[in-house]
Amino acid sequence: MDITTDRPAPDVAVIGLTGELDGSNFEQVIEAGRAARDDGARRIVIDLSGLTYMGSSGLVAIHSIALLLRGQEPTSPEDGWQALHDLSSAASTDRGSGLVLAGPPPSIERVLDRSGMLGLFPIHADRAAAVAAATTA
Amino acid sequence: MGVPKLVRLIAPDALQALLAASAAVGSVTAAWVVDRDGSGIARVDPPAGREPADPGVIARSRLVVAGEDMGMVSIRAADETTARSVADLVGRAIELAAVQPQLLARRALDEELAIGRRIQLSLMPRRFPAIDGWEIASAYEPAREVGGDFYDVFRLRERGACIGLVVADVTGKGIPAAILMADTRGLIHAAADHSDDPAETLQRVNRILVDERASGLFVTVAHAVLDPATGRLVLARAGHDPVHILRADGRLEILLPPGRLIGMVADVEATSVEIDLGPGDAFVAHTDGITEARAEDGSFYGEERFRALLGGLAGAPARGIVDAVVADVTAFRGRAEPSDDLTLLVARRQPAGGG
Repeated sequence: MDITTDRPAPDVAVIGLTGELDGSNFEQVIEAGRAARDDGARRIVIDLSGLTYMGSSGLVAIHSIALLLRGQEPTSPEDGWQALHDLSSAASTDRGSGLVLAGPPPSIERVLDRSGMLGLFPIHADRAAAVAAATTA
Repeated sequence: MGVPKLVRLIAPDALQALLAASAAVGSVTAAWVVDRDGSGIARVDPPAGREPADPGVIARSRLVVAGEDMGMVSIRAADETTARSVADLVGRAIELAAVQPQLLARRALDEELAIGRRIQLSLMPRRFPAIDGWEIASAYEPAREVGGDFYDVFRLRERGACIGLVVADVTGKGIPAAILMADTRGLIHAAADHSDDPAETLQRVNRILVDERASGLFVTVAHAVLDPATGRLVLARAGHDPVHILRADGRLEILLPPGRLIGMVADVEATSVEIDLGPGDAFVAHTDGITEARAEDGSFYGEERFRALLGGLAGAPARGIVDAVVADVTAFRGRAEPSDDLTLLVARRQPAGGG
């Protein structure tokens, strides 16, 4: 899978994904989000239009980037036993994390719909619309 | 120029100890290791005042770890044979020490996956409750490394005649996934015993996991409560794949009640759906290990093929439905390695008059 990062504005980043997003590469997507955030991005658009497949790891990546934008650290399953007793309450139904999804192909949109994640983040039909919304927000 | 690569792989005092051991060989008078570019990393010299009169012979052995040149070890000894054999011996010892952490990490990971797998297998029901007028069958085929599926069939305590059915899929693998699986299974069981509504059960489980755990893992669940006396089935879904109802006459109904996967946010916003199963009708729940099974050419098994197959299985006993699906997925996959657990649960009401 290819990951690109563009910065259309000082506080906006667009992470473009092409190919298949699964358990083998979802952490790279999270790191791209982290790098953008550390570099000043406060709103991140994830452009899904190039994805041909997204597994449940993709949902974890999307949620983790939302956490990062809120200043929280996603729990890594690699933390193993310790993480399970961490009482940090990272969950929220707040839509204001700054994460925006763009251009999901039908199969990807179905994964988002089935998992119930469609309602959690703003979605736009394409990258341009998403960037416009993120830049004026 | 940064830290020599070899020093990243072996602690300097471990390297020093290996050199000191080689220098303990009688006629060895000095031992040292240099980086690829010749700069020194470690050395052992003869004690001051004890340098041998004869400079002796130096033998060198290049250090190669995972195909990469890491530098060289040199041994000075009184004679050629000793220098050569000690250089070779300590060279291999240094290479082995350098690769050891990766071997240990790899083994630790394999062990964790194996333990996670054993926990997972121990959670699967050994046998199903026998229910008059109903057949229950399942298939569960774990993939080699990836894991996360579980299923369950249990009698509800408060309403002992009713049966709880669960198919679920955790988003990870290894021990953290197996723990979440065990957790979720127990929580669903306990919550279902005191709930009238599967959607409420899933929400209660979600609340506990979200408030008290932060594993970074999520779980999708399809959970139904069946009244075997009436055939009434109430289904709730938390982010999971659609449930299929295969009618005796071959019609296939797809149930996709709303509900978000568990463990992510405070509310799963699930709503139950009710359906009545008549004689010969079957409830079919699966995980995406079936629809996302891949053939060697990379193509997916897919929902269309799954539905077409199910539609043709009307009238088959529950065991027959399960076996036919597993056989078709296995045939489709061919020699490709399974990339995910495969799980299927079928509960079928026997036709009037048995069969």
